[in-house]
Amino acid sequence: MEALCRGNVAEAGLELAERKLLEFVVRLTRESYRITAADAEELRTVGWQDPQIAEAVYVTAMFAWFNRVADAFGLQDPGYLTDATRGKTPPPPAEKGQS
Amino acid sequence: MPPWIRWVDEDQATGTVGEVYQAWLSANPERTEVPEILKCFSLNPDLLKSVVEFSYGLQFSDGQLTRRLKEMIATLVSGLNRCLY
Repeated sequence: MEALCRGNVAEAGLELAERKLLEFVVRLTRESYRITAADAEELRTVGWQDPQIAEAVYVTAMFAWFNRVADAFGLQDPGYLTDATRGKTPPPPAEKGQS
Repeated sequence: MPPWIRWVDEDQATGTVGEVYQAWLSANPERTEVPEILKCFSLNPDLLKSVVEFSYGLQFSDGQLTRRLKEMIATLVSGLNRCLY
């Protein structure tokens, strides 16, 4: 998780399929205008199904949105990630259907 | 620290915003404050309600992808965007 905090996929010690998916997340975040059909094709070759690829796109885009909203309002680091990277997972929000 | 754009705090929340905050707090009894990211949407109560519903539906459950992997995506994207929050 520490490497991912710094945007570094290579050092995150991931399996091939997860690494490829997160490399796609980086491209979608940094240079989405350069995405081509080959991107999804490559993800299929390492086993991802289209609904999974689509969900990765939704989550990636949703957090890009949240990041910008947080920055616009001036939100400070609440220390969740610091706790997470020190092995203490932050308290999970409500599971679906409860909130 | 006060936000750079106004939002509705817990003690000012009424109507839909009050309902959304109360539902979140009762679903997360260990927390005393609503996450600030949610407060950012409180100037548009209907949007706030929709954001809570669709973001929790997408992020905080095993859907097509595991929750673990979606947390990794969220962390990576926020890291790339240098968004400390």
